Amino acid sequence: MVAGRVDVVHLQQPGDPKIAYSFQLPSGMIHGATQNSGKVCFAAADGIFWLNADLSLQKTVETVQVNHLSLGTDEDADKPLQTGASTIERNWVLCTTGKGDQSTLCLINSESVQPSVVKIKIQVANGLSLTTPETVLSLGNRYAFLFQDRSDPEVEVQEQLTIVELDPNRDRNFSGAAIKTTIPVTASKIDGHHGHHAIAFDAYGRHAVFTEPDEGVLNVLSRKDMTVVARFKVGGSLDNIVVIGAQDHFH
Amino acid sequence: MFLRFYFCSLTVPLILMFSVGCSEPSTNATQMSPQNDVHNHAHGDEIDSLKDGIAKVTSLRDTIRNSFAKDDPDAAHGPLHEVGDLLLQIPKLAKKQNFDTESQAAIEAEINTLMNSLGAVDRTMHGQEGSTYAEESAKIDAALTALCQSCGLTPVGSE
Repeated sequence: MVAGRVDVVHLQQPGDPKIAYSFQLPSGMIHGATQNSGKVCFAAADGIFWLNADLSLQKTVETVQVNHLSLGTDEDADKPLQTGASTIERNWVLCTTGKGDQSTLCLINSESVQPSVVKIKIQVANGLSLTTPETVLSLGNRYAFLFQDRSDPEVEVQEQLTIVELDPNRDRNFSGAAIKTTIPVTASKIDGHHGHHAIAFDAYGRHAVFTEPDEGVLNVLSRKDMTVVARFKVGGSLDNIVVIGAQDHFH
Repeated sequence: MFLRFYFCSLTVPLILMFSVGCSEPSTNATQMSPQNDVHNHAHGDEIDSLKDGIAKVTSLRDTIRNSFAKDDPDAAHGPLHEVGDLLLQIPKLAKKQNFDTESQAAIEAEINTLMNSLGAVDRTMHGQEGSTYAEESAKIDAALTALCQSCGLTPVGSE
């Protein structure tokens, strides 16, 4: 694969899938992609590139138009900030960028004709970096949960969980997003891509369950007051978590 | 619709002593029938009269509204399911009163409005895209007032 190359394939054509056309992004190191509201976004070495999804294969390599969204500049390394995995909530794409005091939650309105990046600065200590946001709809309110995990496992620094209310005035515009709270959590146990804190939500979004990998603990967090209401020591090195069902209301 | 599917709630309905919905035009208040305090599950009990049905809808509306106002959505959840089942009985009770076609149609339209608004609140309770009670409150109050008028009862507010 050539760095920065994107292949467009029609998956519903009969026979083996074939590349309809390919195009090049202005920068390489594509390490994330998502789609929302008719747009496709790629995380690359220099921020995010997006284009309108060509669902009927009307475009060619000559006519496809790639657009750029800068996430800013890494002041220490003097190079563009980048992101990785992203999350979709309604018509918005959520991702994080930067480390330490440059840590930022980025929000992109995919429905906008010319999307821009809404940046929510999050106070993060040196040695920590934000995880990919996980979102929940709870009693009409939308939240993003981001852990502040150690970027260097050898560094002793308090890890955190930051909760952002995405739409405080319920106008479906996340540009008013604001930090709700930040709570301390015990350490992650990072080994390669594993060992980060993980979080999942019950079916009604009323409770979150998150892991503390180093201590092997599962925590139940109430959305009502954003506090931990139960802790379970289960041991082992916790990784991903799935929640099924919700509090029993019915019979 | 959740209001229909989940009316069997474990939540114990509150007994409201002061809620008043509609009254006969000649009186100022309606005496509420106390709810059965032994059978504590809301199973959508049969209502005998239109007047009692609408009084109970108003009582449940008050419970729901007051619970959300106190930031206690769990206390609103059971009544929210119960009122959905109750609303479905109102058009049938109205037919027994032999209203004219226009009034019967108006009653059914107001019931639909209440079902839609309360259903939207219930969807939110179930973690789906819906409305908050505050967003639907004015619409619910207006529909309930109009329902009372269509049924020939005088809206007298609530406490």
